[in-house]
Amino acid sequence: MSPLLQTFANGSAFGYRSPSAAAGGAFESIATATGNGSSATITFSSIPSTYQHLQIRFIGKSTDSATNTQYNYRLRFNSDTGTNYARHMLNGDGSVAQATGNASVDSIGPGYTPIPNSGASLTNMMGVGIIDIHDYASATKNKTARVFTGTDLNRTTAPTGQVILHSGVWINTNAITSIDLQLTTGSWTTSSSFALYGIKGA
Amino acid sequence: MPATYEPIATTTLGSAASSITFNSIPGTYTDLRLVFTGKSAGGSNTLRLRFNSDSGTNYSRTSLTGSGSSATSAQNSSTDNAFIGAVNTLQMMCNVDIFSYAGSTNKTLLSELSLDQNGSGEVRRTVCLWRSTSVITAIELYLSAANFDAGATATLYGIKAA
Repeated sequence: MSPLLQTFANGSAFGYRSPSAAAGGAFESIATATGNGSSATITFSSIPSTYQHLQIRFIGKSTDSATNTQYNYRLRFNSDTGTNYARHMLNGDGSVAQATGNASVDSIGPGYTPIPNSGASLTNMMGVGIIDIHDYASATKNKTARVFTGTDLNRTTAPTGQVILHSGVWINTNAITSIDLQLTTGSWTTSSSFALYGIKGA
Repeated sequence: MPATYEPIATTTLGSAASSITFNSIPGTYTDLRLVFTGKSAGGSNTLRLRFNSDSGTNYSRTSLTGSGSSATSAQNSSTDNAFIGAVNTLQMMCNVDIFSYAGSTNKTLLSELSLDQNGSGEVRRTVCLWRSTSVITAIELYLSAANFDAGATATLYGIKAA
């Protein structure tokens, strides 16, 4: 069977396949992508509308190595860079638990989504996350995402670890056909890996 | 074609036991998910994991916990286990996602623990780091100072990307 169209703007990607080609079960792999060390954005595009929900699972790291620190990524749908998103976050940084939120912002994520950089003390440390997007193909509902993400660096001084529960809404009723994960600083390392899954309804 | 999300193994304890171990985990998946439900046979305890029988101080964690009256966060460096959270005499449950377990970077997991003791308990989210680039081939679950009660069930799933 021919692969579906793939137009990943950045990073490398492979493995698109039609839902019917997947093995049985309600949880199917749609596509994977890896960082290429020179691009800040991973894009899943031409996402089929044949599932009920989507899930992205990833490990990630920034190529920037200026200091030992952590950066963030933006989560956007259908290349929409307008202020059409809102978000809430509950996080723990190892010493304080706190909650914040923002209305009318240009993406879900920045400030709340730690990704370690390639500083000397952070070798082989990766940020990880699971992003759930419900009813992504609906033409009548705004889209809501849940992000569970974290990184631990075995450190008690900055940059420390973060564990985060994060929700976001895209105030748009269009079906989601593409998803961007854009680092705020640096590029995704070649050790960064992303997988998009589809979850079927009954 | 292998399934995308499939069970690798399930263990249900027929009698109280000190640990549950999954050995010879195939390296053919992208991520692992461990689903556990159980209770302590010895009162208040904590649930912990170790990989590949490593009992060195190669683990660390950052956690976010709600106790029913407050929310707190803690970080522990260079510990000898991956700490998941509290276990007591009423049934609890947790999901543990282990990312890129067969990859060449250090291993990071996210865990979700739910424990309610009808008057106490906790909901906890934790990120744990195992500072090892080895492929994870074995996972041991154990309590800090007690046995799991009979009936505790752990299932290990493999999740495979395209």
